Amino acid sequence: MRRLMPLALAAVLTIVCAVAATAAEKPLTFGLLLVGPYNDKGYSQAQYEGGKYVEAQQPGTKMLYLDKVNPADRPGVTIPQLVDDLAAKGATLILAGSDDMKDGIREAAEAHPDLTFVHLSGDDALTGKAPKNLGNVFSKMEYAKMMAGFSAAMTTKTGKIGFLGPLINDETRRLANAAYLGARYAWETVRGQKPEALTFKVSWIGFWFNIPGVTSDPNQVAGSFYDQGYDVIISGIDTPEALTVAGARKKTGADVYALPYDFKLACQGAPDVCLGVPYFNWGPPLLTIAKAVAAGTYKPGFEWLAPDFAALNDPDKSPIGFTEGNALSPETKKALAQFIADIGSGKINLYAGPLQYQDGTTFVQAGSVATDKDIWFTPQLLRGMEGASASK
Amino acid sequence: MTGRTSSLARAGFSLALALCVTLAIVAAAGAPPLTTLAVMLDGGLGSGQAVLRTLSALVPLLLCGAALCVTFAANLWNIGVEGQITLGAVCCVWFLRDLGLAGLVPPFLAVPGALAASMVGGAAWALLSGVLRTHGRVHEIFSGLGLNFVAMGVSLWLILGPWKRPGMASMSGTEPLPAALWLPALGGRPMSLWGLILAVAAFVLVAWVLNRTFFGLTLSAVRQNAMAAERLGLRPKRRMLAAMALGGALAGLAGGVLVAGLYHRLIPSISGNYGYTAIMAVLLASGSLRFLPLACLFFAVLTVGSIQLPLALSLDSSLAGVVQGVLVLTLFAARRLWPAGNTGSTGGTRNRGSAA
Amino acid sequence: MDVVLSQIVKRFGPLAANDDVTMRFAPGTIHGLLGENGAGKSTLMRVLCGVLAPDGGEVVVNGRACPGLTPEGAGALGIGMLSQDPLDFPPLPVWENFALGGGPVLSRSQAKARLAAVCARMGFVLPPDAPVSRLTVAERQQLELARLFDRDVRLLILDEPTTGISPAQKEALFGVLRAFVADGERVVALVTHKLAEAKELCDTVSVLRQGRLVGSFAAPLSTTAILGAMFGAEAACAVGAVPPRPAPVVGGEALLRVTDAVIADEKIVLQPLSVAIRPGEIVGLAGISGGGQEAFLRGLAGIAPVVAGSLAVAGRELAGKPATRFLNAAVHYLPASRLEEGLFPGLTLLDHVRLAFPERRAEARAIFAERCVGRFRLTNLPEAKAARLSGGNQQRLLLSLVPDDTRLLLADNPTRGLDAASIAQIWDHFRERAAAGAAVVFFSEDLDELLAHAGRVLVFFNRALVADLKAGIFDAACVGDLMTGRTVPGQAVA
Repeated sequence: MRRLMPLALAAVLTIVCAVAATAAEKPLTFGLLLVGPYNDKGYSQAQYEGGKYVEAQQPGTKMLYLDKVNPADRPGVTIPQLVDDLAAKGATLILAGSDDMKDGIREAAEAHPDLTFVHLSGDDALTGKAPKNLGNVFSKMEYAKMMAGFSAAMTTKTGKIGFLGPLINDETRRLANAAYLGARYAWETVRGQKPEALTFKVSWIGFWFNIPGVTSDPNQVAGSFYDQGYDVIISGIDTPEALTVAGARKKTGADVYALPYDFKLACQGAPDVCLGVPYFNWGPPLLTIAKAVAAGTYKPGFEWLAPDFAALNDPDKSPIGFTEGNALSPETKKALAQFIADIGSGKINLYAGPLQYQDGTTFVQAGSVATDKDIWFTPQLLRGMEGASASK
Repeated sequence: MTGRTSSLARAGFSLALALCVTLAIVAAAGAPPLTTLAVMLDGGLGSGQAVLRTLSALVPLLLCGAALCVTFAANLWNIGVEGQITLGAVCCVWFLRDLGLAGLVPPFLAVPGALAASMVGGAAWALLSGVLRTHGRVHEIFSGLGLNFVAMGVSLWLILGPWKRPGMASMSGTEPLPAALWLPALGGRPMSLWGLILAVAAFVLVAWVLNRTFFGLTLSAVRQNAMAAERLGLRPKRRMLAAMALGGALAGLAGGVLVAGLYHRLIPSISGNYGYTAIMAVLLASGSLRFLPLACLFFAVLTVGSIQLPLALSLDSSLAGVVQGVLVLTLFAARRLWPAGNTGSTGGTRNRGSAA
Repeated sequence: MDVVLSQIVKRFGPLAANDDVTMRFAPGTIHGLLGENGAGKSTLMRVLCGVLAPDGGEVVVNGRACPGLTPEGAGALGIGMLSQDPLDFPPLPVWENFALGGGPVLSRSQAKARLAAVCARMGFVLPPDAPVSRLTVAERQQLELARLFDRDVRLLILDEPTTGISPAQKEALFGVLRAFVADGERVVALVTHKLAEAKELCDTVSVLRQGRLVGSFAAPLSTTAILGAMFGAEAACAVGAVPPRPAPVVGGEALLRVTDAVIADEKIVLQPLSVAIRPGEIVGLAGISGGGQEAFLRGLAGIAPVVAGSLAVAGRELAGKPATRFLNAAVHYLPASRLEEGLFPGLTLLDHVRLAFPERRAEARAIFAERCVGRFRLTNLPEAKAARLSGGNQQRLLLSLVPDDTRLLLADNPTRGLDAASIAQIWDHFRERAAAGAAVVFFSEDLDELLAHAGRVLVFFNRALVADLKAGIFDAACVGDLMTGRTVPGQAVA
């Protein structure tokens, strides 16, 4: 299935290109709703640059975007209202960037049956809640998170890895799980250490970024990880606090590392403590969608795009990537390259059973492999991880 | 008559001056000033959709403005409107979720009942402030601000905790309510005619209560001189609490209308700064009920229109906030700068009084 | 120092507070400025010390005109004013208050040395480190004077300086003033509405009426002539007539019975006291500032709580009950600061009637016509705002709002700031109330007035009721001594 995905994608691409070349439709205008600031050096900027990529690759295509679409920044503003505005300005394709826009984008899609909606997140098309003109597209960030976990476990000296989590939902649980799986593989299989000597702890701050007074302060959480002997933090939130704190600790002589999230160049904040970044490369998938919509061939559905393991960091190919950080040792780099190649070739499948949830119930039976749906709807963290599986 | 024309001239002068300063700042920020203004106006009033949206922003503003007028009438600075909206929204959602959805209330009673619950919630929240003022000597500004934070905490706790969606918590709010439990909409989705009717009715009611009833007279007595009211046996504390409760009920109703008419669920920051904006509207109208609807409309247009700045002009969206802030600040400053501003007949009285 | 006010005109809107006033303050004299309240005395003095700029005329000091006089300029010329209300900072110690207010900045030791020097010269006793809030009114006045003397004031203006101080303190003050002008160079301008004081102290007197100078007199001063100038001939007769003194009430059941009550006002807690007041009595409370008489009045009104003991009106126990219960028991209180405590400045007179008689608010106009206009001769329109009322009309409005069935009427300085006609009307009204069976308890800072109108006097000193005097056995000197603690209470009652 996973190996089929890139093939299918390539096939779609070629067909789409062929159609796009022949059709002389009028240039596409698309609207992009970002949950955070467009220049956040994180999740929203990755989407914004994806949109810019589409504009550059498809001359004539125009992007309308609105950032900070969240109730704290824009109180009183609803997604359907914004979609009305975008539609009035000529947008025929609406991209909604965050899981939190789920209800709003569904409502808007029902109100505008003539427009195409793509939720870059969410699973309405999978669960059947979505109207005909609403699709979901997301990338399998899990694999990049595995690489992050792998790098962390290869680097840690104390055997204690912290995961700075946002709020708790299916997506964040499965990303934390993926990071754990990568870390466990590195720890037990590559380094040959005892399983019980690895501590992998998840601390949730409450949202994708710090909202003073509402969420826990990620600076405090990251600091307390390091205080308790954790020497590597994998960030699951959209802002770079973990890296910043690690950089500050490093200056005082501590031997600590961090892995930020979302944005290709996120290591720049503190390169000497950065082990790498799992990042989104929205350019290729958005371009695919834009071309398909312009050609009238887009079929809304649930798409979960796998990385191109052979060209992981090629901006024109893989929907996700993993930037290697300066702090990664040459040996780890070598091991990581082997790890990526093995996943790509199918030699390693970390979703192979037996795997158990925190409460001991079975996630994957021994001898079988988790399906996409099993992975997508993740109700708990995995056995072996510390941290809450659900908010209290 | 001359009083009214001069106050109109004064308002016009302040508005013109405020616009000039705002446009200068917009130009300094590198945006085309006149286009910016046109985009904002157009976004608020330019189309049927825009007007509906402005009206839907007007509903909570007018309700909160009326609520503030009641408390201002008793000389209370009800800064806690935000929290009262939030609690109203929470109570409304509670009623619809736990009673409406569960079928404990007949469907035709669910929405009216929920709105009533929201009024009770807002009133109770306001009374907390009120009692702290009358019996705890805590000024309502401080308790109101504090309770705003508490209310936000309560709503977040409910969204992320007890009322979270099946399997996950999300900042997008609680599970949306079925359409049967919505306030009937008008035309476009964002607008509920019933909300507007309720807001106008509440405003008329407040105007009547304040100007035509004995209760309104006692409130202005308390405002003018709480000590004299005490001497006359008017029980100013009780009147203050009554004013807080009435104001809180109206603010709570605003929260209820936001839930039942607009969001159809509880979201974080559901109060949407309407409480604070309404305070500015009331200040802009100098506490006069006659100008309040206009002031509320002005802020509604501004709120709705400013979202167009990043969309139409790709201005950094924070500029919209700057525009709004500068406009309001200069409006207040300009009112003081009006040439004939403070040489009224009152000056003579004051001097005559002290000449004795 | 020779100061001449020449053709001074000062207008406030349509009102001419000073209309072509010319007068001279000759060196070595104490010059009295007499007139009713609102005659323009204070305005004229403010023009003299540069606080108000005149609309016409000029101030001439030692033969030189001083146009555009400012308070600083006047201070530099040696003109200083002791205002009616002390301009000090109560939380600060005496020496800091002394050092504040213009002039060079003094160090702590310098300021204390200079304060001690001035006090020694004038015979004041002021503790330099005590906070001003602990001083009596007389001491605060002395502090103010000490500061002015230290700045070498040559023309000293005093605005109603004897308000709130005892007769003995008044004598002391007058002594200081006489010493002040003894060098034949310095001048005192004394603003007062009390003829007796002017007669006792002043070398020359100018009388203002409605903003105009209506007479100038030199010692020896004639009462009739000055009264004629102050009020016009016919008013002088009305004021001169001796009011009927109410007969002491002895029999009958007590209306108000206070037993071992401890009254706790905001800043002052009274010693336990017991007293009974019968219907028909008019009781005057005597005491100097801080004596406790105002707190007692507020305690009777239910404003200051009775924290121990008993307070019963017509047999109903009211100690510790809220003020509304006192109102229900037909106890009413007229505050001294009428606009600040009793009225709603921005509301109309009609609204006041509605608020005072809520259950009859539909007939507010009729009530206004009958009570306010008919009975109390209030001349304003019912739509007028209370802020526009003169002092007399404020009191008329307040009186007309007191219901007829009031059994205990409490009045704090009921005539303060009023003109003669209003004062007479108020006393007449109180006597009517008493004759109809109500009890009236009042406090007046003017001891002469108090003794003239009270049928019984309760004297307070140092937060205690020290004497209960029945009519006929008290005189001003005796009460004054009791008020200031110079006589032990036991002697007086005996």
